[in-house]
Amino acid sequence: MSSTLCCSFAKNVTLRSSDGQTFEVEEAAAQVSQTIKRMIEDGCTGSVIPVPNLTGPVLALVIEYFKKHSPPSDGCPTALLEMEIKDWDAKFVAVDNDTLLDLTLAAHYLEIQGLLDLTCHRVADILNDNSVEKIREIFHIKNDFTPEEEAEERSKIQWAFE
Amino acid sequence: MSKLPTELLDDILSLLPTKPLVRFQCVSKRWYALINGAKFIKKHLARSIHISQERILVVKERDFDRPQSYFSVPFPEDDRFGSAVKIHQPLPDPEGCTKIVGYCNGLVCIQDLEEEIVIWNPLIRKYKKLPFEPIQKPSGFNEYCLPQFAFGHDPINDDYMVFRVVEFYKTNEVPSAFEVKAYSLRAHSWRRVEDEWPYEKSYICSNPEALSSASLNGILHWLVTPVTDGVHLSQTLVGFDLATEKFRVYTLPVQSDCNAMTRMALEVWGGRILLCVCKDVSMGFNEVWVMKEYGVASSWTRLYTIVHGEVPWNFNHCKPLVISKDGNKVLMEHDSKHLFWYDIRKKSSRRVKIQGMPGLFQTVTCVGSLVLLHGYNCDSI
Repeated sequence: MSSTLCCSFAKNVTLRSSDGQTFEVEEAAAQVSQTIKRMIEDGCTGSVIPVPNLTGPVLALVIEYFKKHSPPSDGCPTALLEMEIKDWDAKFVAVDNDTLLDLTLAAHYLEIQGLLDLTCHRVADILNDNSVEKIREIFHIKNDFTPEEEAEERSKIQWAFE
Repeated sequence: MSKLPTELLDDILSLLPTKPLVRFQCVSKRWYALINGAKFIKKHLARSIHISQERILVVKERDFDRPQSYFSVPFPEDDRFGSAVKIHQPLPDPEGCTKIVGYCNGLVCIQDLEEEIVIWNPLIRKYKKLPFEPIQKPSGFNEYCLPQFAFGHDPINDDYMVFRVVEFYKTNEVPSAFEVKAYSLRAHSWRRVEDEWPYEKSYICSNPEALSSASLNGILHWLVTPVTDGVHLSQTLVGFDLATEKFRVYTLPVQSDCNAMTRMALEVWGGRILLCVCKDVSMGFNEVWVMKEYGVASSWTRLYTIVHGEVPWNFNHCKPLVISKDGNKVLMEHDSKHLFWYDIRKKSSRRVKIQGMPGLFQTVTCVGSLVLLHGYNCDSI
């Protein structure tokens, strides 16, 4: 028997972040995430759904995304609505680099295809515009080449740095 | 912030053009290994072809009084062409006379008059020189035509192949013996193709403005004029399957007629074979056919016809290069002198002006591709 039919609060689910914050959100909106959708289908709605990979602030942002992207109750989205969502999306990912990467990971863990495409393209744009040194800084990557190794690698592809 | 999982980093990097990717090999050993991985190179190429995120025109100077230089013209959007920038081709004489054998997946195959051949990725400045392969004349034949080369990709073995057909003849006769050899980039060697050339007597048709072969889905194609009892028959399409090493013959939708000066050429677009027909050169009548269902002769469909007067300038030869992202316009090269967009539905045309283009040129297109970045023991320019 489906739990969504018997439960009086079937319309809402509660999500709990890694640091213990809880958020209530409409079930239909949360199902924008394939991971959460599967959990609901497996009957998780009665209790709190843990989202152990996301901190409270990131989960709060993801829930904002859920709300904007939940399927409209009155049928098909209009072209105007789609345009508005597109604008909203662009603003949504215009955040600092750490938040952007957190959102990218969240979209990956929670299988939110729309958000994943959006964040991946944004990260790619940032990469495209930056130097090797700056990328190490943004992504917190340790340079594990020795100075000699790096100098040799660079000398082979000097043109790509021009 | 935790580390991006490899599959996610892979997804993000595959959205980038080739130049930053080459540079980002220096970020860390993990990034180096990822960008050089065969799986990543394949994924990046598939994305590049699918969404045309990075495209260039590779332009060859065709004025024989001038150095035969090559140029690169970026055109990320249908209406945005960058300037033509001189690039160095990898053959021994950088300004010598060359011929474009073919192109696919961001690679261009070129040869010089000495029949030195290279497979070249102009965007990442890597190339592979092919080993010399002697021609063995069969007994009884004293002459042979210039070898015809073709270049293509074998998707089953993910290999790049160069194909050589030598037509042998007796003085004043039609070619009647054929030597067919295939070069594999993976094996870096030539081998003899066992299957027999499908005609006893024939000519491979070549056209100075166009490529003489086209590669699609692991099949190389040539236009061939068969000859029976001294009579030149109408041209046919000969295909060679790189995986099964078998020839096939397809009929064309248009009869070629030597007297009416019908000139035909092949092109490949969006996974389909195109046949470009120029009838009556002086009138500049140009039509393009597409084989909608591969291998089915009845599926040849006329894509468009340009008749005299429809385009506000005269032309003899016209070759389609690229179809626009919305599918309504075709970028054309005419008479090796000009490029223009032709709107198929409105039947209108608009010239494309590119700064720094040579006066006479031949154009092929390249997508952003990292093929040859890793493996194959390639050289850099």
